Amino acid sequence: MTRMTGQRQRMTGARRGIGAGPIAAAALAFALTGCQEPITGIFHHLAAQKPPIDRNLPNDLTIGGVVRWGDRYVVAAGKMWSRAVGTAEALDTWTSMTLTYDGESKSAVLLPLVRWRPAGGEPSLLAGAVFVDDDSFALLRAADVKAGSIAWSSVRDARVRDAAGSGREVVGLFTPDADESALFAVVAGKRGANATYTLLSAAGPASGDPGFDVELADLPHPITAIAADGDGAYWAVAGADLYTGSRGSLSKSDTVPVPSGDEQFRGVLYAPPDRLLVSGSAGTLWHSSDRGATWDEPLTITVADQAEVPLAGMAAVGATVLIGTDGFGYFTSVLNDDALSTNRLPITTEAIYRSSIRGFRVDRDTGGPAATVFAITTRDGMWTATVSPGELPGRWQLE
Amino acid sequence: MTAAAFPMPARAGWMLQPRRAILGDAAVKRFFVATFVSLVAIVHAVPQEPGAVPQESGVISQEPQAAPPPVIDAYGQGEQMLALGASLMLPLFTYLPTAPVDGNSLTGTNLSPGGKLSLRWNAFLNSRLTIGAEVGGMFAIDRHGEPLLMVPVTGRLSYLFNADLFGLGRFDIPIFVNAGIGFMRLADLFNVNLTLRPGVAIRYRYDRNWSFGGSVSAWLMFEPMWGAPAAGSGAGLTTFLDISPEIVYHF
Repeated sequence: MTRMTGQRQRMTGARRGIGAGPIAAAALAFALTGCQEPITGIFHHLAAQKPPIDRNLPNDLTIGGVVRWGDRYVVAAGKMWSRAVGTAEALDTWTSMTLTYDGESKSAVLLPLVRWRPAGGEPSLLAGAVFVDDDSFALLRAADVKAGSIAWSSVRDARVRDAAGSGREVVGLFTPDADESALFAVVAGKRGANATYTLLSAAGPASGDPGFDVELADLPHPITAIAADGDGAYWAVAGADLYTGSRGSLSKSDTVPVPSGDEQFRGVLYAPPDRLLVSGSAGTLWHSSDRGATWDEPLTITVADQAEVPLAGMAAVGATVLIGTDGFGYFTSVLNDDALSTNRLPITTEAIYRSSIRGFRVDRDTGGPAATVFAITTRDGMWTATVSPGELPGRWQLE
Repeated sequence: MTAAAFPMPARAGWMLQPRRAILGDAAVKRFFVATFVSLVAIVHAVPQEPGAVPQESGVISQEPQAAPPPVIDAYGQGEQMLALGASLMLPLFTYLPTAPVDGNSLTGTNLSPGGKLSLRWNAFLNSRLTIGAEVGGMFAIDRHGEPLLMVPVTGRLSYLFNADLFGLGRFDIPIFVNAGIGFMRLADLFNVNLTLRPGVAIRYRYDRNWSFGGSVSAWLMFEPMWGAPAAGSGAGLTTFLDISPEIVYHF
């Protein structure tokens, strides 16, 4: 109803002697809804809703990682599954993988998973595992992946083992460069109230187990995200600290903004040429245009009826930035010359609207400017969409 | 309306029932006597079948006799009603006049069956015509699990028929139409629709103060665009079938 129509109705009402009730109601309705620009029709939105496309991967999984291996995707979520890359329309199904560990069959829970491609070397998969039978840990590596099976071998590097020779718990694995040449592993040291974590890094050798160096030790919080500029500079966040530098010389940044209260950094993202984004657990988004030397006034992300939106990991496809949240799906931001702003994904798209998205994984082998992006969640399964640079994601489908 | 038209059931016997566990023989006798007296009172309280005439000898014989017309009391101006209803809301279809989806103006609602609670007040303008207002809260779930919440606030006009049906007693049969607005919320979307709800109800008049029954009505909810529509969006008319048991208090 246009504003003119409303005026015409009110005039008609006055001529016919209609009471003030209906006019007041119409005015109230206009006042309540007139501030929304533009208007999304709820009934129209509902009528346009499409049923979620759902492959056969269980939808209550906590996803540890997803990588591409040749023409297959491989996902670790306790167990491991793989499917052909295929197309969205083909709806290739996931098959559970048979896993062996140093030649033995064991029950294990695998979560962190990355593909590592050391410079000039052969790619391999790395995963962190806990063995159910004896609660022991291991960092696993596999140089080959069959369609339905992986033969894992334990990494023997002393830095991923404790003094007794047992494996240490691997809580995070990162290959932040576009070429996936540098490997970072976060391993737990002491457990309990005074838990500590160690950040290891490796860039070689070209074959065999990674040769780790200790990057940061005795961290009170685990590293939750690492960003790279592709030219040897890295940024990592843990707790309320930001670490920056090149591999082998990461150190705590002294220019990082200080989160207020109990807020902690959750994600960090580098966007060329010099932009840096850091997300916080209490809804704060920090932005720097000079690689973290100085920081803009932070942006606080909220939604109606919610004081703050806990932010999580981020990913970018060109100028399109996706920011995961705890329970509010994701927010998008398109980086341009304007001031940084964000938008929640429109409800008009997907059931992913209320998911807890810990982060995103971009298939770097998609080819072309658009990329396949996986949203990895906590107990909400995994979602996939195609994202074009500078555009909002296409339709998400549930894996 | 007279009290005789709606006789209250005799309940004295029930009230006199003793708790056996603490009673002796004498009390049990008093219980049986009281029960007998109560049953006699109930028999006298229940209206006898038409045509059943007690004879002087005390033997009841059936004689052909014209049935008396049912007693239908008229409501009076100023009498009022409060009604509480709980509805099953069955979504029917959606009409999109301005922005069809996939080329279709007529689509499914993509909503699950929902529910509604409502409170209604009516007052008689004369013996048959009432005017009133109704407020309620209703919900349905979309295909992504998101609840659509609505608070319809409507005025109501009804025209009431009544009849003595099936020999069971008096029934009120109002036909009605509600008109008003509905506040809608789906996730972070909010809007106001225009609501029209024609329907019919049937209620058994239990006594002077209470009646029970149900209604069937159609909700026609038109959601205009109160501003510039978002890309691809537009106005919509969604319809529900409302099946509602209700309890009405008369005063």
